Amino acid sequence: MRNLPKVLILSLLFGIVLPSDSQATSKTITGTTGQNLTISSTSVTNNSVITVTGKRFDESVGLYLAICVIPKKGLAPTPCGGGVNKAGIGEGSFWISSNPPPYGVGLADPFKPGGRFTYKIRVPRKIGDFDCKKVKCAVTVRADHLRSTDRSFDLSVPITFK
Amino acid sequence: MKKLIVVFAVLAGLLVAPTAAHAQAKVVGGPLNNLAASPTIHLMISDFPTKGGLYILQCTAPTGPSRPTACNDVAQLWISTQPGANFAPSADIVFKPTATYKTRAGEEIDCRKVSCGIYLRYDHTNGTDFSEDNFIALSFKSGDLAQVKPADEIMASIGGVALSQSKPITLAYRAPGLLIASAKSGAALTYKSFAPACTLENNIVIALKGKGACDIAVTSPGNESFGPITIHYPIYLKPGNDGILHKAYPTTLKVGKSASLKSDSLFGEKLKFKSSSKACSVTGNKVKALKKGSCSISISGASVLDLFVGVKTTHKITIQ
Repeated sequence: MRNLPKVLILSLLFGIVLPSDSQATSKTITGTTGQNLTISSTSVTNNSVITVTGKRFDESVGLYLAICVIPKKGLAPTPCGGGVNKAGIGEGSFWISSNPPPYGVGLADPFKPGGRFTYKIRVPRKIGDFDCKKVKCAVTVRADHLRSTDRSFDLSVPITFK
Repeated sequence: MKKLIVVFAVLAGLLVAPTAAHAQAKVVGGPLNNLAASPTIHLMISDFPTKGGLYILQCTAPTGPSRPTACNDVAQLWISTQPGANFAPSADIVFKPTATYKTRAGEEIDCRKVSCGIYLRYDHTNGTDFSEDNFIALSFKSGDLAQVKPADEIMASIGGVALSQSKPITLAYRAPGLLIASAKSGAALTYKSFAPACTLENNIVIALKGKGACDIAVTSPGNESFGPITIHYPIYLKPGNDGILHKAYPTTLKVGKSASLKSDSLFGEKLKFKSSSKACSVTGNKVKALKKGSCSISISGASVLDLFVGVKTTHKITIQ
């Protein structure tokens, strides 16, 4: 207790700042076939970047990974933020498919062995007119447009905006 | 009156095909008679059996209780709800027999001289069940033999194992297989994977699942001597074997030094390490060299059912 003022003084003197994500909580959910979806933080700020990893997904089924408004049970997750973009870090959505149709070659990223993927994804507070501070949003995976009505591949990890 | 006769004649060629009394599936379609050398026949199947898929073949008429063997592999169709099937049970099935063909045994069959027809049977999932066996006779026009080119012949292999339409080879999850094929015509071939469980890129076939089946098709456009052909090769899938990236692990270490061991397998599973010698100790994924000698580390990782068998291997480090 006697050391506390000293720590504060040192922090002020040397600009030591505690990491902003010290309270970040990662979360993993498991799907019905044993697939895991993990996000590095469930508590986010507008346009912050989180890491999303998947493991043991069915590699024969293409997926979309995006930030979406959580739908009513049984409905497709929509609307979702972002679009297919290969720029790399911080984009809003991704198409993951090891066997895309010819027009998808170069747009879709293949799974890594073991049904894995890792992306850094930028999380916008607003998805269209929806404000994720007012409605519930989540990091979501779902089957791509080749199985767009199949809800059995849907998985989502809710996020909250600070 | 003349027109009426023509209409009746056309209808007669499209009449419901006679089906075997015991077969559940009912086949309709046509034309079935007075066929050109390479006709296109449209078939519809009702009361499709729930037990499994069907094969539709062109064969010479069976002469006894045994199934016919003088069949045309090129015309064979697989009708099933399974991935890789040529048609779904409810589809407009397009069947393309030929007036002449060569059997798998090399026998030349001329359907203008011998009795041929459409032969239906259960697929490989019910290979010994004869209850859906059914023969529908076809007749071909005589003449125009000169217009018929024999279909091209394709030889293909994956990973050095010959492919067959009737005996599927087995491919392990994520074990790349090099597809090599050639045609008797010498024509350039094209390749396609018809099942999402397999990728085919730059002639490398990779299974994305550890069970089920794939269908790899090889197509020859033919040439002036040989007709075009597409052959579908079924491939069964089996679980693969996870492994480690060997070059990521040290092979030597000096006494007193430590090293971190790569903690993920090739398929992304967390690895467990255990030392079985006194030359080193392991804590988590860190190995520490204790004394000169051979350090033996057993490495293990989880298996995933129907996908791959987990890592179980030993890595040796020489402690110097």
